[in-house]
Amino acid sequence: MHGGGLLRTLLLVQTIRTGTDLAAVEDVVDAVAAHGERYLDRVFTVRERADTGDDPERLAARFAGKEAVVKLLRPAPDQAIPLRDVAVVLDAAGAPTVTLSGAAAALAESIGCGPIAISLAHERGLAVATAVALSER
Amino acid sequence: MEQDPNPSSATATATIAGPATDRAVRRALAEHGRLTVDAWGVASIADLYVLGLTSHATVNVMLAVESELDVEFPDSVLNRSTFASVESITAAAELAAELAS
Repeated sequence: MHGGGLLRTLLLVQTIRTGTDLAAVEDVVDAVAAHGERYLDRVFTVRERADTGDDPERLAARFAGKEAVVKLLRPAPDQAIPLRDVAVVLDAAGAPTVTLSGAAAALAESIGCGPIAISLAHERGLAVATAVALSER
Repeated sequence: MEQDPNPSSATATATIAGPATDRAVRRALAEHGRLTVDAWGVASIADLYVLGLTSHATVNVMLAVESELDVEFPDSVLNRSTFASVESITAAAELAAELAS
C-alpha cells in the first residue's frame, strides 16, 4: 500500500459519492403501454411494485432512484448493473431506502461503500432522485 | 415517425442474421429511442447517447428488440457500452440469440 493510501486508511478518510437522475413519467407510461408486465418485472422488484401500486409517477421516481444509485457507484462502461439489483423501497417510517443485490452489491462492496441515502421527488410529469454515500474509494 | 426503408422485411425467425438484427435494432430505436436523428440512417458506430438516447429509452429499446427477436438480453450485457451504438446493441442481440438456441 503506498503512502497516500496508508494515510487515508489511518485517518479513515472517506470519499463522498453522489448521483442524481431525472425521469419523465411519460416514459414509464409509454413503457407500460408498450411492454406491460415485461417492463414492470424487468425493471422493478416485487417490493417496489407493492410500494408504488404501479403508479407511473412513483415508478418513475424509483427509476430515477435506481439510476442515481448506479451513477453513485460509477460502474465501468462494460460493467453490467441490472436495474433490479438496485431497489428503492420504503422503510417502516415510509421513507425511501436503497437495497442492493447482485452486481450492484458487489460493486458497492468493492469500493467500500457505506449505506446509501436517497431522496425522491415527483411532480408534474417529472421525477428526480438524489443518492449520497460515503465510500473508502 | 421514421420509416423502415425495407417495409417488406419479415420479422426475424429462429436463425437471426446480421441484417435482420440490425433492422430490429433500428426499428426499436426509431420507435422508442427518441433520438435526435433518423434511427434508420444513423451510422452503426455512432454514439447513441450523444444522439439523445436516455437511460429509460435504453430500457424501452431493449424490450422492443427482445420482443421482436424473441430473445432476452443476458444480465451480463446490461451495461452502458452495450447500448452505445447500433452495432453494439446488434452484437448483444445476436449473443442473446445464440444463448437461446
